[in-house]
Amino acid sequence: MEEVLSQTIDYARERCHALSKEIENLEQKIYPTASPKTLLLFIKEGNEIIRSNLDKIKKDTELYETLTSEELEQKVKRFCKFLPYLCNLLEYIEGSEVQNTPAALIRPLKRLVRHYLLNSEIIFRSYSQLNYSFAPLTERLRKVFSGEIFKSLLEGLPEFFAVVSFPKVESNYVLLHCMVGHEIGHGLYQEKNLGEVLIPLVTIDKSALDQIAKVIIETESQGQDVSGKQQLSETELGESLRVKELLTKLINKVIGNWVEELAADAFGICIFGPAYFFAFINFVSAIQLLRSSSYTHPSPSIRMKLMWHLLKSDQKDSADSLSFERIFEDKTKDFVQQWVKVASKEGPPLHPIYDIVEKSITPIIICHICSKVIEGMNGSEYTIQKYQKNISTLCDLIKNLIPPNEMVDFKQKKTTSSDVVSILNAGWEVYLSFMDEFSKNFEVVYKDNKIECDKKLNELLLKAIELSEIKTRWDEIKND
Amino acid sequence: MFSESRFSDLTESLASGFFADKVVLAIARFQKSRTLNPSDELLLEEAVQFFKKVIEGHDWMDNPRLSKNSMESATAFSQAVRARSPHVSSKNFVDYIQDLLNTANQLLQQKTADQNKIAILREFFSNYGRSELVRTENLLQDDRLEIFQ
Repeated sequence: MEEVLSQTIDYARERCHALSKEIENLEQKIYPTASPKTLLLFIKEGNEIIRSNLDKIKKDTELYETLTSEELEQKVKRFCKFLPYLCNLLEYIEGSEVQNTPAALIRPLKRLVRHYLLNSEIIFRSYSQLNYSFAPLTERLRKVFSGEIFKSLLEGLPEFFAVVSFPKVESNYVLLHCMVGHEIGHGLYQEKNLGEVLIPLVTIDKSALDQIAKVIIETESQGQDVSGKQQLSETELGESLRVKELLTKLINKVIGNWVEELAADAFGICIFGPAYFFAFINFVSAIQLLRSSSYTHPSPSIRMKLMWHLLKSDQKDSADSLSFERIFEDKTKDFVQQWVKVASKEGPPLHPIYDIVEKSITPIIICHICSKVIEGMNGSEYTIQKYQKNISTLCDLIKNLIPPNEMVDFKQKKTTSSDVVSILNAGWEVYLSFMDEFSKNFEVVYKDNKIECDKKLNELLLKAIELSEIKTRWDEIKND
Repeated sequence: MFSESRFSDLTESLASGFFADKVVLAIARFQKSRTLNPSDELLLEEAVQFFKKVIEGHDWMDNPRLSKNSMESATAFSQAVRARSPHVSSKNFVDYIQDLLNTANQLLQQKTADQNKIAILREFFSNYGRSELVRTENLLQDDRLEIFQ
C-alpha cells in the first residue's frame, strides 16, 4: 500500500510539473491588464505548495503511524484533486489575451468596475459560450485554500478578484456588453452582503413545500397513498430523510441564487441605465425561453419585470432618478412597452420547486430588492439627469457618423470626455430610434442592410470608447 | 468549460473534504497522544458548529425561514446525510448527529470522551471526507448538475 501511495505522489508531481510548464507558456502572452498575471501567479504558487506538501506527506513517518491506510490515501487524493482545480482556474485566463478581447473596451470597463468596487481586480475574457458570466475568485479561493499551509498563498490575493466572461462571437458588439453591468452587480451584491438583508425577507409557502414532500414520499414508498392526508405526521416525513435533504437544499439554494440574480439585474440598471435593459432584451430573447426558470436563474420575464419596475415612472417607491420611461423617444417607448407586455403574460406551469420559489418572489420582494440596491449605490447610479444632459448631443454625433467620445461646450469653450455608459446609452437610443437617419449618412437603406449598419454603429461606439479612454488617461497623466 | 454553478459546487466540495481530512487527523492524533494542540481544538470547534448546523438543516422544513444561516445549514445537512454511517436510519439520524456533537464537545471541553464514541466521530469524518472526494470527482468529470445526483 505504501508503495502504491508513494507512486501516486510521484505521478501527481509529474502533473504539477506539467502545470508549471503550461503556466510558463501563458506568462509569455500579452494581456490588456495585469489581472490575468495575478491569477497565473496564484496558480503557480498554489501548484508549488501542493507539490511540496505531497513531498512532505511522502516523508512523514508519523503520519503513516497515525492514520489508517485508507485515511492516508484519502489525504493524498485530496491534495491531488487540487491539481485539476488549479487547471480549471487556468481556463479563466484563456480568452483574456489582447487578441481575444475588445482591448479598447477593457480599460474603460476596468475603470468603471473600480469606481464601484474599490481595489478590485477583474479579468475580462471572451469564451466560446453564448453567455455572460461572473466568477467571484477571492471568495472561492479563500474557501478552498484555507488553513496554515495555504496562508502565504492567500496573502497575495486581491481583496476583490473576479472574472467576467463574455461571448467570443459577440466580442466587438459593444452594445451587448452592457450586460457586464449585471456581472458587476454580482460583485456589488457580495461586497455589500445584500443576501443577509434580502434573503430573510422571502417567505416560503410551507404547505406547498409539505405537499411536494408528500408526493415524493408517496412515489418513494411504492404507491402507498399519503396524498389524501392533510398533513404528514412527523414519522412519515422523518421516514424520508433524503426527501427532506433534497428539498431543504434545493429551496435554499434556488432562493439564494434567484435573489442574487435579481439584485444583479437591479445593479445593472443602476450602473448602465436603460442600456442594460435593452441589451438584456436583445441578448436573452434570442437564446432563452422567456418564462423558463432554472436552478441558477429566475425566468427572463421575472427579471424584466424587476428592471421595468426600476425604469417606469409611476412607482412611488422607485427612485425618481431612474424613471427613464417618461423621456424615451417614441420608438424606444413602443419597443419597451411591447416587451413589457410579453413579459407580463401568464406562462405554462413550472417545475413544482420553481413554482414555490417564483410565488415567493412577490412584488413586495421585488420592491425590497430594488430599494436595497439603490441604497447600495450610495447616489452613484446612472441618473435620468445625466441621460438627459448628454443623450441628444451624443445621438446627433452618432447620426452624423462622428464618434461620440467628447462633447463641446461652446459657451464655456471647452470639451468634456464622454464616459462609456453615456456612449452606450446614446448608442442604444440610436439603435432603437434613429437607424434610418444613421444609415442614410453612408447612403444605404437600413432595412435592407441591417447587419452592416449594426456593425458600423458598434464600430463607431467602440472607437468613441477608445478615444474617450485615451483622453481620460492623458488628463490623468497631466494631473499627476 | 465548467458552468459557474458547478465550479461553485466543486469549490464547496473540495473545501469541505479538506476540512474533514483535517478533523480526522486531529482525532487520530488525540487517540494516539491524548492531547489536543490549539489548531486541533479550533478544528473541533468547527466540527461542533458543523453538527449544530446539520440539526438546524434537518429541522428547517418544520419552520422554513430563509437566511444566510439556513443556506449554510442546508448544505451541512446534505453533507451529513451523505456521510452518515450506513446503519443510521432516517428515524435515528438526529440522535446520531446529537451524539457526534456531544462527543466533539466533550473532547473539546474535557479533553476526554468514551473511546468508542471517539471512534464513531472519526469514522463519521472519514466517511464525510470520502463522500466529498467522490463528489469532487463527479463534479470534475460529470456534466450532470450536482444537485440532482
